[in-house]
Amino acid sequence: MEQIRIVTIVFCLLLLFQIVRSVRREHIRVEYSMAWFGVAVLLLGLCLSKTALDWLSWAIGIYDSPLVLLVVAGVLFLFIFFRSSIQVSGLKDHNIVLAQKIGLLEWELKRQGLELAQLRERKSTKKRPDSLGV
Amino acid sequence: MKSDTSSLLVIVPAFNEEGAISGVIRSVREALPGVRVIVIDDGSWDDTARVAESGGADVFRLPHHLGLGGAVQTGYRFAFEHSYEHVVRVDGDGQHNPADIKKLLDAMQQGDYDMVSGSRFLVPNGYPTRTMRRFGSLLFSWILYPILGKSITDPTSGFVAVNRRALEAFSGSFPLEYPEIEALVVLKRKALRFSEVPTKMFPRRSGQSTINGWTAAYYMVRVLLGVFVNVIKYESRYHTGTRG
Repeated sequence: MEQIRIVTIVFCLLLLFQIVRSVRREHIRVEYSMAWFGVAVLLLGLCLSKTALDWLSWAIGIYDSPLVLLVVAGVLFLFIFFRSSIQVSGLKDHNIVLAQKIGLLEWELKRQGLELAQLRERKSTKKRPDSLGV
Repeated sequence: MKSDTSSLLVIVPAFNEEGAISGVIRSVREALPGVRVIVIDDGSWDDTARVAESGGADVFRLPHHLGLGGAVQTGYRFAFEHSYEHVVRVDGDGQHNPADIKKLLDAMQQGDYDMVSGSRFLVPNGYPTRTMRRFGSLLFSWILYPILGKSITDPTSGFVAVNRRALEAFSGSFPLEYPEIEALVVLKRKALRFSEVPTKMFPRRSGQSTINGWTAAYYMVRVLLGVFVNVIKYESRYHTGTRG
């Protein structure tokens, strides 16, 4: 048990370090780092407190501490992945709407540009006889 | 159908169809002179957009590939915002016969349907259909029958005409991938009416279908899941206006 505890503590500390580093470098937004922070702190707490781990073992009926750690980590990561899928789906929906709007606006811009060019051309052909003094 | 084409829009979703697109635009113009044709270029990396423009169509270039449903919905959104009464979707690969557009529109008006699609199986017309595709269509027809409450012979047909009611529904909510089958369930969910008419279809003028081999299996599972989700869909998510 001691070995897995040490490995998990090291893993959690590395995870926390990586989260802080990513947030500082703005690779991950603070609101999206919250879930990862939560997972790292929770796992770290379970590794550091034997009472908490024993209580959890008793509560979920698994009397093997390393297995409890594995189950808790698995469940938490599944939760994060599911939450990420929801966020990715939302972003994809917004992305579709934006791409469609860009397509429509670019066409509208091009159409208006052409109309403007035609209008200028018509104006210049109207002015030409005057400039020649006819 | 009235001869006035000002309230009719033909949309052509196209992805890498430079070899076929000019022929499609020309055939549509021959069948319905004066009709407005828009090509939605779904992020093609070939010359589709330029060829379509020189063919006289208005071209909407999407900044990146959205998939067939995203491209079709762009056309539906444009038509809805610009108050078109009827929209016909013709695929950019040249498989559909634009001469049949009038047939779709007549059926829609006579039967007061909100959507009419062209079926290659309603009356045998000599179109060479792959066994896998025929099997897929039969399977989906069988699955859709209890959901739609009616028989559909060609649920994968992309040759469709819609009126303003269907346009309103689709401009707010339209499936992204392989949209034809799910679109039928969307219509049913919104209590809109649809039907089929027999139409002639041709082999592709160029390029090849994206549904081959393993993608056919993915297609089956994806569409089945999509149909299931549409049956149990939570409507209010669409009313927030965030969903495409």
